[in-house]
Amino acid sequence: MNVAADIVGGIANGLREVWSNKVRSLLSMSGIILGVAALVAMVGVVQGMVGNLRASFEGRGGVLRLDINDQELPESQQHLAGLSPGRTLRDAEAISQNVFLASHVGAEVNLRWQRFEADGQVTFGVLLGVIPDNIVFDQRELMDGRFIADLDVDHSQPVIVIGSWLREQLFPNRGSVIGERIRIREGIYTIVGEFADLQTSVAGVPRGSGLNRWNYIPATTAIKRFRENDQVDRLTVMAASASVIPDVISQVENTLLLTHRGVRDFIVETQEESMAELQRLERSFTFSLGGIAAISLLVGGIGIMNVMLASVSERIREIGVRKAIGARSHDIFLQFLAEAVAISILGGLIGLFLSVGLLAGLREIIPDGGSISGMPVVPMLYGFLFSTLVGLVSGIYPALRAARLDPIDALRYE
Amino acid sequence: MSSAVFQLSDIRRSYYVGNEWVHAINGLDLTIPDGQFLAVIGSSGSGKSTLMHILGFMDTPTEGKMEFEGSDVTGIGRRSRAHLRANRIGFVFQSFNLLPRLSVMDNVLLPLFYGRSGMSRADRRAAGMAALERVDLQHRWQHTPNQLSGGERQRVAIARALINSPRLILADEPTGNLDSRNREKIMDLFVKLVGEGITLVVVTHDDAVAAYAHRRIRMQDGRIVEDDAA
Ligand SMILES: Nc1ncnc2c1ncn2[C@@H]1O[C@H](COP(=O)(O)OP(=O)(O)O)[C@@H](O)[C@H]1O
Ligand SMILES: [Mg+2]
Repeated sequence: MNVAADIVGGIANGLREVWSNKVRSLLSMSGIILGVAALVAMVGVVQGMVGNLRASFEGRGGVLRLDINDQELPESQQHLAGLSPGRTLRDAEAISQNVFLASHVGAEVNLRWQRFEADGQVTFGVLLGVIPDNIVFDQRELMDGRFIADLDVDHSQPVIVIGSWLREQLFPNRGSVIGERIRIREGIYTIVGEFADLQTSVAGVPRGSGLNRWNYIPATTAIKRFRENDQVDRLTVMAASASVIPDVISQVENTLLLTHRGVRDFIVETQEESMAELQRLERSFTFSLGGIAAISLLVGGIGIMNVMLASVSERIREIGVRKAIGARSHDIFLQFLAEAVAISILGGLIGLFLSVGLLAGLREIIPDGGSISGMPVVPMLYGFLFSTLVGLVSGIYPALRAARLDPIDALRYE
Repeated sequence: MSSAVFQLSDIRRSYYVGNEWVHAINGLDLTIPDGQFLAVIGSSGSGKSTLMHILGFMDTPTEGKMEFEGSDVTGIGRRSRAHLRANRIGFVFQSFNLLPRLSVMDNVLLPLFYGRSGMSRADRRAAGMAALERVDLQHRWQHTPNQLSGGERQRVAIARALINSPRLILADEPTGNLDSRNREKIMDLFVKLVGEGITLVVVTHDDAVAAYAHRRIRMQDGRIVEDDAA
């Protein structure tokens, strides 16, 4: 006996049965349809969003990035508190000179919101003091001019690299603005570069509007003109490769112990924690949303079981006839099982179509939804597999009931 | 070599209902020779249908010995019985029992599916056509049962019983739902089939139907109380 042909034939017969009962079949499928559509769409969205987070994480240096943060002094060093100068530009310098396994060193002085003035126009934006490597960490692209250079930092030059917001507000309808001057507080700054407009955003945070208002001046200029002390707010190191991260950490620590005069008021943090956080986030999203979808699939399974039970009691006589002319219990079992599977396969396929539509809509609605795949193949495969499995499982009991019917009783049934 | 299709010896079929035994068949001996047209008559509740179910391998006797085509089939299992139903026996019911959603052709071909004939599609189609020709309905093969009259439906049911070239056809009140004109048509068809070598057992309480048979047995309380052949 050819089992494969039996199964294919059974499903074909099942589809015919489904077709002859269109409305009822569609109703019984609705749970599966919604379940599959929800499963695929939700997992697709989560993957897209997490993909965004991962991309921005990778963009900012990924696992290679080390953050040097302030730390409470250990008990034994409490009395040395005043001794250390804290994180300064000298740290950045020392690291780039001594830590040869570091590929980039970034430092940032965050001057927050400032008032910018030019051509009689006024606007507000974020001002950051940086060093040349920051362009790598912040992943910015220049549209015109150049970024802050070593010489700018060395000589505390009054130069600025602006974002698209400033150019729109201060210099509307203008060509290149390189060489133009901007006033911030009492200082005048010459524009040396302009960033490309950022359309994208990260995980719902509209990145475009935010980051486009960021503007950069040399860190030394920022400290001299805006600060009382010479501390920086961020200190970042990029390791040359993943394998040397431990070496970079110890080299950075040794270097900073020198500049901080032996005071351990800093800590070198890797991205491991944020990486793990990202994975936890993805997992919990996938499981909770997948769980919701799984529940609707379960409900779909109950719907199929219900309809199959109704179908069995409606066709008791048919089952009797089939048995009388030679069907074995096992034939009847397969017949009804195939019908349940046919319903779920059809429902699953409709659900997949629906999910493609849903995803297309969600891509439009969700900020930065462009990274959501319109056809997430793996979730779709899973969705289809699960729905078929649900049909299979929910078909077993009704099929067993059909198979167990006694032909004589079934034939007598009116 | 026995030339009997069926040989039943001291068959009993009892049900335990409430708290007493009901003996639907109560010590029955019957030999059905090859090619015989046998009519089973008797009042309602006398055990005729139970006998047919036993002959049709849908039911098994609680006691007694049963031989089919010369071999002992007394204790055979469900699988073997299904196989015999599909391949060796044709069943015709009072209420036709065609599957309403299948075409006439597909109804006729159904036993081939369960008989696991291994025939090609074309061969099956040809066999179905041949069976429909024997009941003179070859032109209706695409119709569905509800497009046919009662008499035509019963002829389709007979074609379905013929599809596996069985030696034995069992018919329980085959004309019970038909008018006299259709009844005659069906009986003429049966006579023709018997003439072609088929063994036929018909349950009826219609004397006109019984008159067509070679032999009549009358049942009462699960036993044969009258037999032409004796
Ligand atoms: N499944 C059953 N359970 C209990 N009694 C039954 C069952 N089937 C048949 N009988 C009894 O067996 C007797 C014979 O029934 P049946 O063979 O149907 O008679 P007939 O077909 O001659 O009218 C009847 O008394 C009937 O009530
Ligand atoms: Mg009866």
